Amino acid sequence: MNPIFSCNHITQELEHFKLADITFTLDAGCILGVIGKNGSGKTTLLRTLMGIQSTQGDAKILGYSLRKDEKEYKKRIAYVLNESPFLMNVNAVTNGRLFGRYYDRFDPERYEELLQQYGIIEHPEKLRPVCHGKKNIQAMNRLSQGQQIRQQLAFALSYDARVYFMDEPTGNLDVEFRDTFYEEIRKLVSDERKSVIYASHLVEEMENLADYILWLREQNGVSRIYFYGTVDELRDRYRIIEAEDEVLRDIPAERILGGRKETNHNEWLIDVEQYELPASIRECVRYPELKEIMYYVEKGEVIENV
Amino acid sequence: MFRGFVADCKAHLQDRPANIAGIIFAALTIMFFNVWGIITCGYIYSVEEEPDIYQLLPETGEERKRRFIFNAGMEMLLIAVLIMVNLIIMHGYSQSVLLQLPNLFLLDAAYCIYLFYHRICKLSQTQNKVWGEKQGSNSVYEGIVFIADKILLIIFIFCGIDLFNQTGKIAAFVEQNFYTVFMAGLGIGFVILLVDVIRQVGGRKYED
Repeated sequence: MNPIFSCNHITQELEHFKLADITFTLDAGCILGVIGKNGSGKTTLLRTLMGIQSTQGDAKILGYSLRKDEKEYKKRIAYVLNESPFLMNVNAVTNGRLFGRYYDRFDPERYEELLQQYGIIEHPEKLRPVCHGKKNIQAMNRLSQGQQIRQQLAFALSYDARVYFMDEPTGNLDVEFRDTFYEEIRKLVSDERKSVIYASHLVEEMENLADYILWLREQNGVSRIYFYGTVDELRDRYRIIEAEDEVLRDIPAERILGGRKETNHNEWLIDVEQYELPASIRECVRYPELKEIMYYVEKGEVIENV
Repeated sequence: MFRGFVADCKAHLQDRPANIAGIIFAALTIMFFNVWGIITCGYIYSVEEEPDIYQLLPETGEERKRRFIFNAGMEMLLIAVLIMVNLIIMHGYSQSVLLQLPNLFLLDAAYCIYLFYHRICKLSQTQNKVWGEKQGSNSVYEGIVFIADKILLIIFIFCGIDLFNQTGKIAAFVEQNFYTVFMAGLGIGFVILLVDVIRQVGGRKYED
């Protein structure tokens, strides 16, 4: 265990929403998937941890506190966000030139190399000062959302950050680059020095990518951690029972979190934490997928499509 | 020096009363641009639409504030230097001192627009947030900025030529054909604006 990041009692109060008491730690070399349905506070949490929004509580990277050592903390973060934070009316290279200098080990050559690799610059040898009317690289607001994500990834990979914040980055990426993106993330954490905090509502990608899951659930305008642990721990906590109604008689009602009743198929999600399923039904029990867990828990009822 | 300047002004106005209208017009123009520039910049700062990147950069709040003040200070210094340069140029033409005033006004006006776009907007990334999400308003705005760039360039060239033209031939020509030159400039500006707006609204990009 080599904790690189800690989040202590982060609380964020907005007008109609509150993110309450978020506490967790993250080891180096790990990917943390932040999941939750829309409006559960994933983006708010990431923005808070990146220091964009002020907060109660604190976060630390390698001991540097967001509140007390803001500069050192921010030197160690990188970001790939759904909505690009960069200046929109200048191009990617200019953005790199403007903001790269804030980071100690920013490598402009690598940045331009990556931009070229990701198809943002097509003719880097022709790069020259940009003025209206004559550009061989387009301003950020002329790039597609996917290209803006690529630019952000190029920037993030061009300096030596320790914690990478990624907020639903793959939504606008094409399938081909999505694989490249996942590959880059895996490469990032492979040396056991860096970690990734990755928010997404695409639970399928979390299942394949994340080591840890932080599940945020919002109830009555307050969002809290519903689960924090490894993907296996989460899956281990639940079972899907595929059987007739009668089978459920032996299971306490509070253990049934949700399910679906159809003409030819019934399934229920059961919380088996500190509860052992009766031996009689073990044949019709299986491990759920992450998306099934999330779907049924968030739904909180049995859906009848008979 | 000041008395000489006033005497020049009086003599100039007595000889050429028609220029008074031009000077008043220029003065109103510059007032408009300056007030517009100040109000808009003030509004931008007040709505705090600084792009996220500035919050993400490894700076403390104090450093951020210092950078902001430094940038603003440098801008003001630059304006002061430009005005001084223009005054020096003006001083070289005792015969046509008032003729340079509209030029100075125009320089200041152009610089206000230039300042607004190239400095404030790039730092504040306001065009989508303050000016609305509509591409149309954005395009018109960019069109205006495009013209401001060109006007500024023309003025700089004009001032440069003027500086070395100690015989005052250019000044004399402009003086004799003041309204022609002014209207021609205005006309060219509008044509550029129109073409640029059509380009923008029509969806063509700055790639040519």
